[in-house]
Amino acid sequence: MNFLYSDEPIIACSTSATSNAAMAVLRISGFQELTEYQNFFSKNLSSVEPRKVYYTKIIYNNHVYDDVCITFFAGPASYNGENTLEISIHGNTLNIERILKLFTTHSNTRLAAPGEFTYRALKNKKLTLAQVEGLDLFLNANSGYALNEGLSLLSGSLYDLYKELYFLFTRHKASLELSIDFSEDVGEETARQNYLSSLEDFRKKFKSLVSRVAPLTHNLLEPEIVLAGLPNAGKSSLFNFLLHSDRAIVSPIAGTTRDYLSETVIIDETRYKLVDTAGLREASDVIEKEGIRRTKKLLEKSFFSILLINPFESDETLNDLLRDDYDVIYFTHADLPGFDGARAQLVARFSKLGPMGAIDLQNPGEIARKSLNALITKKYLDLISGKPILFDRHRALILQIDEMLDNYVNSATYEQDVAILSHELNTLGHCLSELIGIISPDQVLNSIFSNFCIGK
Amino acid sequence: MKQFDIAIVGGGHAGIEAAYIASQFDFNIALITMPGIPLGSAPCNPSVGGVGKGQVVRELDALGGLMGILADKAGIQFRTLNDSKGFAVQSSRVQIDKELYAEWAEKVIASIPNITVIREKLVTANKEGEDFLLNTTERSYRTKKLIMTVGTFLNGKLHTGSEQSVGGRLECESSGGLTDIFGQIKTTPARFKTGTPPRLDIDSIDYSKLEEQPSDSAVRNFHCLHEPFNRAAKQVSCYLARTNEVTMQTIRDNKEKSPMFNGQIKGVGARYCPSIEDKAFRYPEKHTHHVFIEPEGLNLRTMYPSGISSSLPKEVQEQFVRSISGLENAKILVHGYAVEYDVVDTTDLKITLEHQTVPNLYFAGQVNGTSGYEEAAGQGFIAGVNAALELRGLDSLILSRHESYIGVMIEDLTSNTRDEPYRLFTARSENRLFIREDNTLIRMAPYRAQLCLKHAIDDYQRDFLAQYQQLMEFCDSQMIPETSPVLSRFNGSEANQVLNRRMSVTEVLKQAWLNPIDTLQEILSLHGLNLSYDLIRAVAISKKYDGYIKRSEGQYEKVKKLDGMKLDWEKLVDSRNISFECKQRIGRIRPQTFGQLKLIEGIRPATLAVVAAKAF
Repeated sequence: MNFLYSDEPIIACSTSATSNAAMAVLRISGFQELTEYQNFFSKNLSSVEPRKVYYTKIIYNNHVYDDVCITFFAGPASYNGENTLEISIHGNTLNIERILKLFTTHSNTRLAAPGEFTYRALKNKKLTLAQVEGLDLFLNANSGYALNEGLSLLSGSLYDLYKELYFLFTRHKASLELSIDFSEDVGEETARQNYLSSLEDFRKKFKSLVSRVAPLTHNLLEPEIVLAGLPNAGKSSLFNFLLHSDRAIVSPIAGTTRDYLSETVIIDETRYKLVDTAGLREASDVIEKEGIRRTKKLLEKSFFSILLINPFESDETLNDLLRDDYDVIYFTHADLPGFDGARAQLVARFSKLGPMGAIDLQNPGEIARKSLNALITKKYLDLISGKPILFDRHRALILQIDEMLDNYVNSATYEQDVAILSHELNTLGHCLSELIGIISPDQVLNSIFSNFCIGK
Repeated sequence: MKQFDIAIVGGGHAGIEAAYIASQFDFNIALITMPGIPLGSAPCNPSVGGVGKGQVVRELDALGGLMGILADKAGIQFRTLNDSKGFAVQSSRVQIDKELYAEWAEKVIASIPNITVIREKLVTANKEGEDFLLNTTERSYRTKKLIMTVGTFLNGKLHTGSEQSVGGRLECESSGGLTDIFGQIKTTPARFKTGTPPRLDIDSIDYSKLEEQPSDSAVRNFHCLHEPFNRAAKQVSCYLARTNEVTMQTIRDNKEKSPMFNGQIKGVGARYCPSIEDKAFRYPEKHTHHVFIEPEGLNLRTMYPSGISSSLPKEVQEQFVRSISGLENAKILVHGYAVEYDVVDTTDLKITLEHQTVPNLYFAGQVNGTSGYEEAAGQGFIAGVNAALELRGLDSLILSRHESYIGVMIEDLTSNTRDEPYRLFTARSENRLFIREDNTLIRMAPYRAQLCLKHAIDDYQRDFLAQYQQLMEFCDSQMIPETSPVLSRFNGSEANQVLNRRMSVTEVLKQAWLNPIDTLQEILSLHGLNLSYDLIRAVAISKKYDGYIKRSEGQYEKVKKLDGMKLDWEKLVDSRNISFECKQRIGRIRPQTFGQLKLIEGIRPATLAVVAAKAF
């Protein structure tokens, strides 16, 4: 977190620089005068006006590096409040490297740390903490919902809700102070009514927020679809079928997939992590045992879990996988003769575990894909219909405040000792201001910027 | 020419407090005060103490101040405010006989040989080398330290309706002409205003229509060496009246005649001490406001109707007063008025109340933009004691805001430019559960000890502190077996309020349904121990709140740690990442710690975030 301490000019490539592309955008911010960079450009920089695009060459020591377009944003009217120069260059990764090096070697500009542009925006009050979090979410969103959620934080609407909550909190707090410091002026009964009504207002508003944090055991930011089943049940085949590829090694020899594989799959505009669990076999095999443990763990935090059963090869080890909340159970090898009979023997045993279906993995067909995708999407939409708040930091704080608020209301000792009540409320207020991001900023900043993806 | 160590200008509550404490250091002190006004006079409400203010009076008393002694001598009705709201926010208030109060102030000050009371009007004050040269209308004086406690007399102007006069209060001169010194002193851009209600003839009120509030004999006297419950003066009652729709309508109908609302008065009044006009226009839907009818003295003919301070024309005052039930025939002896005055920008003062750029000059009291006798006295004490300590070559006395209301007030004052009169109340403290009246001696004794004085209260405090420690330990270590009949005495009325296991006295005291003072008293008498009420009360209530205070200490640790973080304000002012406006404030107030920075009004959260993250 060294960058928190230094405010020299910084440079970074603001577009993805991991593969060649037509163009890339470099950004420099934090300089005093644009003309400090005159040595690098053919254009006379003193004539450059803000927010206009200029075509120029990057030249240093008579060597031409690239033909570029530059746009100057004068602080404080820029993304992060500092003087900023955006340079559109050709997007060859070598070219990007070379030009970055040119600036960092021959000027007082250094490479930006991940998130540093945004950090400066926060510092210069161009963004609030919640907006920074929103930006993080927006830039790294896996789904349309997360994208919107990020946008709502970024545009400040969730922040506005928090601010409203804070206002209601302050009003309630004031009602207690009124009762203590001014009860002679306002009268006992008015003070009491004030206390009750302001508490109710705050509680109502807060509870609406709590419902958006309600049980969400799986991470909606990176939802996982987990495939479980005994060896040779067809997990890898289904995995590839969903991916349209041959990523997993599919072989008829049981136990080929020891550890798990994962790939990204996009279903109806949402990005999922598709996970193929370890095959498991004899419990005597130490590694397989570890595999079972991992499978169970993956299933626990999965967003969508699928159990595959080969009705011809089920044995007692299947018991290890019994859970009662599979999203779907498929009986595989529907193409083989005797399938119906074999399945019939097992159905009763598994009927309580989840909805069941049959699938021919040799030739599954588009209908099977569509129906599976529909199941996954429905579950996703159901979960986001309550507009859940996705941020762990927010979720944790909201739940913490909720618990404190319940205790506060239940132990309401208004009649006994208002001073204690007000004292308890202060503690609650600390958590609330943490939610908004006005206290313990060091910790919050650390945690945010330490896992901030490079972003803007 | 007479030479003094410390000269104090103004004999009000700040001035006499400054003189009283400074005199304990044996310095040669001048108390220069307007001729014709007695020392410690009370031009507004006839009471001392109140929510938060009661704590200040007791703090002053424990530190060796004067206010508690005078209030006890002149107290004619005692009350505990917030009686039903928990010990931490209970405060004492006493109605004072204004004549008696001033008589005692004169008597006590006159009895101190090293204080010279000079009843002359100060004309000029000039800096001469390290000293100040003071010229009054009569003669000249020289002093090393100068404490200005001039109240509302700085360019004071009185208003009653369209009548205006120059002065700091009714029938008193205003002190102008101090520009030579005040030329260097920045005052706040806004003038402040305060007001006082009309005074009613004691015999013109129908008391049968009012609610009587008798004196409470259970309130402990303020001065720690006084017998706790013996009253020096005869006790009388106060009465509660209420405004009604007619009262408020009368005021609303005369809006254009109110100097406050027709633009005649430009000054800003305190939101917390509103005039009746303020109430009428700010809460148009509300008609019933409390009016406390308070006697001004045993031998005075005036009653003070608290809650209806007004600068309306005399005939309107008469009209609205007489609309109140019980006051139908009330005769106004003195009409209400508002006063406008200049106040010093307290951010130019150090935490000792010494001016930052004019050394040896101190400001205290209402001239600093505060309201209230108690606030004035608290500042007078701080200025007086620190002037004396510096002459002695001792460390300054700085009360922590976590341990005293005086500390809260001084820190608030010196870290912010006032835009309205400052009144102390408990919500200003972050540590309300600890800053209580009952433990005042415990909180203040270490500060008093720092003064290295040897007076009667110093011996008393040392003994009290030792006994307090002993009793605290007794409560922790004394176990009551589950079979003891003592324990069952304290069972509550509910099914779950049963004490049926072995526990310490401390644990018993913490039970929510028990009054800790009565409980401890009972346990001690069962042990045959007879201890003072003050001691039992302090220990019992400390035990009661102990858990809450400890728990919050843990919870606030990270906040506190951050608050204590030292910072370099000069670096902040140079920083490019802090807004111009914030930098200006930082540059003026020069905060030494993050906690002080946080207190500065107008410092935005984002600035705090930068500073906290950067750990200057």
